[in-house]
Amino acid sequence: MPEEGLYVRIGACFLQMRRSAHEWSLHHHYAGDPLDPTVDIHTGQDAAADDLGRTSIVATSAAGAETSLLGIAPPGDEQMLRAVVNATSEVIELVPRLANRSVVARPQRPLRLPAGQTAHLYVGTPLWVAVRVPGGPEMLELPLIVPTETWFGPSPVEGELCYSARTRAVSSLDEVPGLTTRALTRVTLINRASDAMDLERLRLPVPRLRLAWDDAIGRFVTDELELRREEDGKTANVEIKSLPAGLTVTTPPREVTRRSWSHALSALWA
Amino acid sequence: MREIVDQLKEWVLGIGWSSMLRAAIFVLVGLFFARLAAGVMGRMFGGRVDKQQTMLLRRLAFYPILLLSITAALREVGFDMSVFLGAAGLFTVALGFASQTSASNLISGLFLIGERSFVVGDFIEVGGVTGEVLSIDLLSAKVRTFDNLYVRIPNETLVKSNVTNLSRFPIRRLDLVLRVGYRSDLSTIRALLLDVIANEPRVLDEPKPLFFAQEFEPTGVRLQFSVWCRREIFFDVRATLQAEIRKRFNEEGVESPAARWTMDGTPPV
Repeated sequence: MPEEGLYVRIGACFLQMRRSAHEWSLHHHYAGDPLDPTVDIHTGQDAAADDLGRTSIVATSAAGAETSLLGIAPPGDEQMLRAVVNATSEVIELVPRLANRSVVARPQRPLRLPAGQTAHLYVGTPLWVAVRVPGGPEMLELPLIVPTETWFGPSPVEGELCYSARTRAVSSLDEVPGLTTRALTRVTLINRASDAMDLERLRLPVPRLRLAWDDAIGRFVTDELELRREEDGKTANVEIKSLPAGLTVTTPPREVTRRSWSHALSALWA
Repeated sequence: MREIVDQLKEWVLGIGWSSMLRAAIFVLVGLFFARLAAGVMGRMFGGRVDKQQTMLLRRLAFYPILLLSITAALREVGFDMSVFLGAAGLFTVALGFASQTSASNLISGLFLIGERSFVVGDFIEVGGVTGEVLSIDLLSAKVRTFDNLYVRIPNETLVKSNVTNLSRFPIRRLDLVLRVGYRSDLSTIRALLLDVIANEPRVLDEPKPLFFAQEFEPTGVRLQFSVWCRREIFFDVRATLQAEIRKRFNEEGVESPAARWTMDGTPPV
């Protein structure tokens, strides 16, 4: 049986999936601008290799005869996984997922929330993709943008390992860039304390959120979050609100927990 | 002397086959139940306590049962335990002197387990030995070094000397010491190093990296560049950064430290 291939590009992530009778061969690499919104899906029979053995893909698009070159992995940068199965299927599923750790969003410019005010912010967090056979086992999971790791806590002894994401933390949906590699979370910040709250970092517990595709805005969105700073100024209440009405859940949360809880304020933002 | 040997011979020959068989059954059954009890203890507490405590609990269940079965087996073959216990008092004094080191190690072992400064599975550094703790036993701790050697470290040594636990905290600081020539601009080097780590997602965004001049040496400036990363990937990140920094220094033409001498050709007056 000749090798059939599916070639997917989502932003800067290039994923090639080839199948033979009993084996999936999954290659991926990252190249180009992570903010690139391009999404390409092609099928093909062959992958050409250059003199150095680098695989470029001369693939035929689903539409017909168009031939395109989908990214060449620099030698050594490509990662490959062979998944040996009972029998490969014609259908393969790419499942979008939220990050597997909390994400610390840092507004590009410091943000101040005066006493008694409420703000609605849109924060983007990186997406992961899982490759699996429908109803079958998962073969691979990878981030669409390789996120930078960070530590969130009062000291190097106490805290949590998270991913770091720069965000513009805009208050209007029109200002949010249309990125395919990120999920959008609407965060409501309520400051009930008597003094202003400066926001430099905000930890979003994304493994606890659900993910859905919002056709109206053409983006992946998550459950909304409400973070309330209480009158004492030291504790914060977090509540996971539901998804916007009419959306169906694409991916359930990685961690199933309570939908509201209290934290020391320092455990959520700084 | 001959009489004692004769008596012993008589005693051994006097043991009937049936007694020997019963004794062997006692030992085997005891061994079976001891292993069973150890397994049950391991399963009961396995999820709740750490590996070291599980191992200790297993032993606490295993050895008393084994000891009881051996005692029963000895009684079965006619060995009088009361004689042995009476002699034990005399032996204790002699043993006390002979086993000072062992006793010290034994007590140190209890302190080590109680103090929990490291547990089985941690990576520790002690007296020039770095490796993974395989077990903390009554007399010594067993460590597997990175080059796969088995090192036995007496508990007394562990209590007396400085022990560094490399696995205690989830993140570690990686200190890189770099030397550059006096003609190098430190702000340019700082920007270059920050650019190198910006392309390495495994380097933590926070805590922030550190950059400063450690010392002005005769040949150049000794710099320290410190970044944080997860402890599991510490060595990998160090190797990657060292290679990348060297590559970038070469590309950007950063001057290496070199001794400079000024020759004064003016004739003495």
